[in-house]
Amino acid sequence: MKSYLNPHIRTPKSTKVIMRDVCVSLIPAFIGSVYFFGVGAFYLTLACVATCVAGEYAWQKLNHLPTTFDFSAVVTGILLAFNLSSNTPVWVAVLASLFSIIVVKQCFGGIGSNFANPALMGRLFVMFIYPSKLMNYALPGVDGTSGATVLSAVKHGEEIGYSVWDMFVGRIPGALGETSALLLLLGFVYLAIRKDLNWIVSVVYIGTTTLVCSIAGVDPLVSLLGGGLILGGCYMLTDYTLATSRMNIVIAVVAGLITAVIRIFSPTYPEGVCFAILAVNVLLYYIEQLKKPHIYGVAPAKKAE
Amino acid sequence: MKHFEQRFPGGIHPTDGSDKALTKAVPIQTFMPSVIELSMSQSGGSICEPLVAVGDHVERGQLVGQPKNFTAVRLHASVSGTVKEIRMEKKGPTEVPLLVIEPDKEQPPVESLPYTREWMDIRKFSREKLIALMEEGGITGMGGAGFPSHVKYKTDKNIEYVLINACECESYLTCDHRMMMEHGMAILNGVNLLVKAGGAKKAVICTEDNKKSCAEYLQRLIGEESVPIEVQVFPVKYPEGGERQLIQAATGRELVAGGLPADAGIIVSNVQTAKAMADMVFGNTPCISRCITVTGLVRKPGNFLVPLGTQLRELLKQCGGLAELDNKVILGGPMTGTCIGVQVKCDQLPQSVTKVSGGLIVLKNDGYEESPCIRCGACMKVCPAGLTPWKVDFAMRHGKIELAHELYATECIGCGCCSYVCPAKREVSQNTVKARNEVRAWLRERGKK
Repeated sequence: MKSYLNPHIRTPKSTKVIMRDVCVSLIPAFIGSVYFFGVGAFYLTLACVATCVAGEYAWQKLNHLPTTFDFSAVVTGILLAFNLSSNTPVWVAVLASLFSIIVVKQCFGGIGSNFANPALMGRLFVMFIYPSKLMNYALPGVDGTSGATVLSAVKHGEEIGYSVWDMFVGRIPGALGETSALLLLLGFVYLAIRKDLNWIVSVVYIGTTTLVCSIAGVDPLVSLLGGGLILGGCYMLTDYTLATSRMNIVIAVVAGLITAVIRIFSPTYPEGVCFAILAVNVLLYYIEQLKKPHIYGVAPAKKAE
Repeated sequence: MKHFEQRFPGGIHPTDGSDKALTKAVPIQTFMPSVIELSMSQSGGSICEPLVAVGDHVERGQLVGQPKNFTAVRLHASVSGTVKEIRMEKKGPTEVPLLVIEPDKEQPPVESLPYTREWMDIRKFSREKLIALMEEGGITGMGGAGFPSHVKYKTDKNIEYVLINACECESYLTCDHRMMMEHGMAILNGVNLLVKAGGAKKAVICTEDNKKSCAEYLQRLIGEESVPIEVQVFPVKYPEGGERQLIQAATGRELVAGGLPADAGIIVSNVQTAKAMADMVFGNTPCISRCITVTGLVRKPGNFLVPLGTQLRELLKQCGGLAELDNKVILGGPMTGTCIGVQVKCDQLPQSVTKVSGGLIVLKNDGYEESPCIRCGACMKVCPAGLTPWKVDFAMRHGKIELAHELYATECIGCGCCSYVCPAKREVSQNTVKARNEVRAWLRERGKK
């Protein structure tokens, strides 16, 4: 049913347009991942996206829900794939996708009603069912060898062996889409120009983590470029429920602190981005309670003249 | 002339100004309609009792409707003519009488009186006299809400400012703009009267950046004349012309929740109300005409100064008819108006001009379909009242009146910004307005017990 209620003019921006923009913004990083990690990256992303879209459609059909396609499942699929190592078996990716889209997203009511970022929950899921991939990320190149990520090497006091330029363009071990700061930032700038996200939140988050880590003695460039900070900060933390909250700056700072604390103090886990964002996902409600919005006329502002 | 930075939170910029450009340079046109359909309900919820019968001859300006409820004001014949028919017309949930008047071939001439050219001496009018004239002339808020002016001005509160709303923040509409350019002196004389009628210290004519030429023109007319009138220009933003937002922008004051502008020492009136006031006091003509913008997908968009009761279809014909058949026709502004027809043909258009109709806009037929809320929070950012519309929307959809009350649904001003920005195209504004009304009813009910 179309409605003809006022207002009679509406913004051209729709959920579909926003989600499509996000997909477009992820294309450079996707091409980069295929370049760095070989065709396996392509299949893995394809598997995740296909499973997410098909899984969502099937779930909606089975439950007699409206099945409007809005690209959000595509975004979940791409982001999930970006969080996996390129040598992850496809069956693991498919299972994780199903978990993300059905359990995390649809079971809680579909788009907008999920309590946490589905792609990150998918990553968490992989860490439980297939933990060997936790420390062994595929090395760049098509041969499928694996090794420690930059962050993990730093954590264990090993030699990094990669130049800053390598880290910036993404020629380092890591999850599919997280390694190339250059290509991720390219997409991020596109989204910021399209006004689809709040870039301040990303900057505050990334800044907080880098700052705290550098106080603890980690090279700021390593913490910035060595892991998933940019992917998480630019694409996961800017998830609408978090980034548009009235407390978004506080949320970004809290997430940044959690990430830094995990990176500095955790004996085994070198990353922390995933946990931090999921933690603020859950803490959102409590953080929001800290500040009541100013309602017009309810607590009148001081008379100004 | 003062220029201000933006002083109220939220709000939107719905268009780039090309919409107003359609009509803002076109001079106001007048014409004598072939038939007049004078509704006894000139603004939302008001009802008048007809004082004439079929066959009666009425003179222009003759009292034909006596107010029957609090929100109604006197209604006068807008032309000289013969009452052909009195029929019931459906308006909202009720039926109200409608006078069909056939205008005489010979209409009394309209003289050009001094108040349209020069400053008038207002010393001889007392405040009480002016308010009585206001009531007699059937003057009502002509911005859209249509609240009776004499009730507003009769306040015993200490009034400091009369704010003249010349923002016309709704896109497409330019009738106030044209009125200021072409009837500037009459408006200024009217404003002068309104200051006295409200017992105020001064009047502030508030307008927006896109009407700088109007502000400059009015300022030129004021010149060195010692009148308590000031002109202020604000940056363009919708809903600048919302009563509460205008007060906030012009004075920095916030009304206490549920309070009236008079409580803060302010009265807000539209420019066309000021013009009507001058017409009544100096021209002895009650409120029988208004300027309306007819624009959008019509062949020749323009502004028309027409007698009340002019049929909308006749206005459309004056504009050369519809330029698009797959259309929707809006009466009022695009943000707060009502859709009175979808895919209509020119001859099928219902209704006629009332004291509150500011625009007749033909837009492309694009209805909207709701999709799930993605909690993007866009509505929250643009809400000028500081509400969280999506939460109120959810509360309303689940029938949780108490929760809606806790979310301050009562403070919604119904501007529509939240629905405008919603990427999921949800009827956030509709539901928040509904929540506001239901919470108010619920509070009244609770107060009774």
